[in-house]
Amino acid sequence: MWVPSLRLVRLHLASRRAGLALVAIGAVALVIVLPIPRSGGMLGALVPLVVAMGAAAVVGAATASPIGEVERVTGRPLPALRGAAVLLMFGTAIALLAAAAAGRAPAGGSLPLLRACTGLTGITLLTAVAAGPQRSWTLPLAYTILCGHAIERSWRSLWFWPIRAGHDAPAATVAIALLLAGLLAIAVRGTRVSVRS
Amino acid sequence: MIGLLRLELRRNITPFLLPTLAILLWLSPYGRSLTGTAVWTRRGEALQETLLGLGPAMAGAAAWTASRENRARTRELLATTARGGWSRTLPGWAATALWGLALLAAATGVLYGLTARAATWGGPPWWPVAATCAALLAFCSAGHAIGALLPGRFVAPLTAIGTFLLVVVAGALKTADASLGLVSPVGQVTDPYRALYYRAGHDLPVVELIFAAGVIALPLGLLALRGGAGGPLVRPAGIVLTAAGTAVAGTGLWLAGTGHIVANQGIATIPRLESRGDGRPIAYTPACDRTPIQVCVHPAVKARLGAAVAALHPVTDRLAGLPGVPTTIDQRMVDGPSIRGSVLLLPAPFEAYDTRGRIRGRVAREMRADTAAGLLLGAWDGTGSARQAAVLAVLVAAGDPPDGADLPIRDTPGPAVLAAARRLAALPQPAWHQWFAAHLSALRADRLTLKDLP
Repeated sequence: MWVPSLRLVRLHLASRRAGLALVAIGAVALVIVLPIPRSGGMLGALVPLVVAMGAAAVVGAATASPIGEVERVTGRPLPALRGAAVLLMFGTAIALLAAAAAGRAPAGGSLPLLRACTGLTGITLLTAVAAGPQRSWTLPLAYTILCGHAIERSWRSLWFWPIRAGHDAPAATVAIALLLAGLLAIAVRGTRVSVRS
Repeated sequence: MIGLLRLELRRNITPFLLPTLAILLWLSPYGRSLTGTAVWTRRGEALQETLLGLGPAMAGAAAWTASRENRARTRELLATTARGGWSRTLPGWAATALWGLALLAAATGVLYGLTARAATWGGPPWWPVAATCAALLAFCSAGHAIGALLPGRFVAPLTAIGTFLLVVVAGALKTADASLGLVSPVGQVTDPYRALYYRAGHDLPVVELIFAAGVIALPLGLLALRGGAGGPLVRPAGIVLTAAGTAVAGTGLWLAGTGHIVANQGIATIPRLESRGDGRPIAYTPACDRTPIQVCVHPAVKARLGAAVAALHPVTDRLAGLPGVPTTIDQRMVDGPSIRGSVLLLPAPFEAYDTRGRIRGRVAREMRADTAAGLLLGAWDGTGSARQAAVLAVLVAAGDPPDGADLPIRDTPGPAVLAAARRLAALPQPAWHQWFAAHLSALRADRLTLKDLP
């Protein structure tokens, strides 16, 4: 089995701007501790979801390769590198969000926040594979807005798993399944490389 | 310049987002308002709510467009061309803004076109359209400046999400009665139905417009202050735009800060922008049916009159002809029911107006309970057991479940009240009429006890 050298891992992470991504995720996580009103109905309830989506969007944007096709053609087998990079960033995002939620827990506790980040990262990765990392934020953003309308209309269908109760097992299953699907897709296929972008 | 704009329009990312944005529009309050009654004021507010999805997406698209020079590593190459940085970047902003405005124009055209065909009262409110367009331009402007000043791979998603967060927070502030949130076009605090009964001013859209105008100018001005922005006139223009944008946006915030919100009553005003006559009742001729107990509604919801009459029929049919019972139900913007002569003034059931087709389920049961209590007692504050039993009896006779969940009166009725209500409801029609005719005055005066009921 091919094991990438530490130097290769470091270079791969540098090409994905992992350092900047972690700073961005940290900044997004800080929003949780800000004194934002949570009593503003649907909009107040949306804040934790937007934060989770923000962290997921950064993970998605960080999957972009600056050398695109050249990397695919000349590079060593990339799935392990891509998977490891995404896992590292996702893990950091979860840790930072959990730390922020420990400071000021969102309504409903920190579990829904972490679950939302998990599932939305999956959606972001799948969008990055299908439409490119530059556009990977569009679908999660649209889905988050839909969840806002679902909150407003008290929909509790599994289609809107991020807004279900914290200990809801089916919602957690969906979130984990989405993440695994996204991880698998990004590791095996990588992100879509567009000449125009 | 036109050639550059054409090029930018062709290369813009926004068309890629249009299908997603169209789906979002349909599932947002915009789409929902189309399924409800065609009321101009309601549709105008729904248009503004589209910015919750449209605004962040356009900000992200603008940031993406503006960061292109850096992404493609052509900044130095383009710096050698005759055009300055500012005139090179403005067509990109204009292209994103034009795509956004085109989508908004199409959405407004569909919304207002369908409303014009179905509305029975009033005319199109243009202030919300102006405020929405200005806010969209502001989103594009801010996103473009962020993309140009902080280019990078994270700029588009972070701009979109940051903008979304700002919109959500501003809307949450607004709905949490914080007056500074009034600059946000998202977050409904005013009741669109209130504007049918009381003259609504344009203070809210005006303050949103002022703030948006400032936000449009400020980022564009900042872009003109960058090095290599252009000729000798660009920098002074940038200073003027930045100063004017800051002043105008600050004025908007200050004006919003002087506003008052009473969210639970659907009222928000900015005293300094109020015009004379705002808040005065609007005269109208109600639309009424011709049943024994007439039901009257505002002409704007005339289309729902038939459904309202059908939903109330089991109750009005049961109480029609009883001496002392009002012969007209006028659904208006009032706090509670009151009887004036032969007219019962009843709070208009706006939730029922928002539905389509027959009014059924909880909404219909609540309407019947409110009407029964209003017709019998002229009030909803009846806590007396006999009063509760009498209202419940009417509802049971009308075919509603014998529980007090839908009753507008205080306290949950106990088993004795429910049993009395069932006994009263089971009376034959002539005995029922006779009993109510004899006891209605005593019932209204709360002089009866459960023992007085048959």
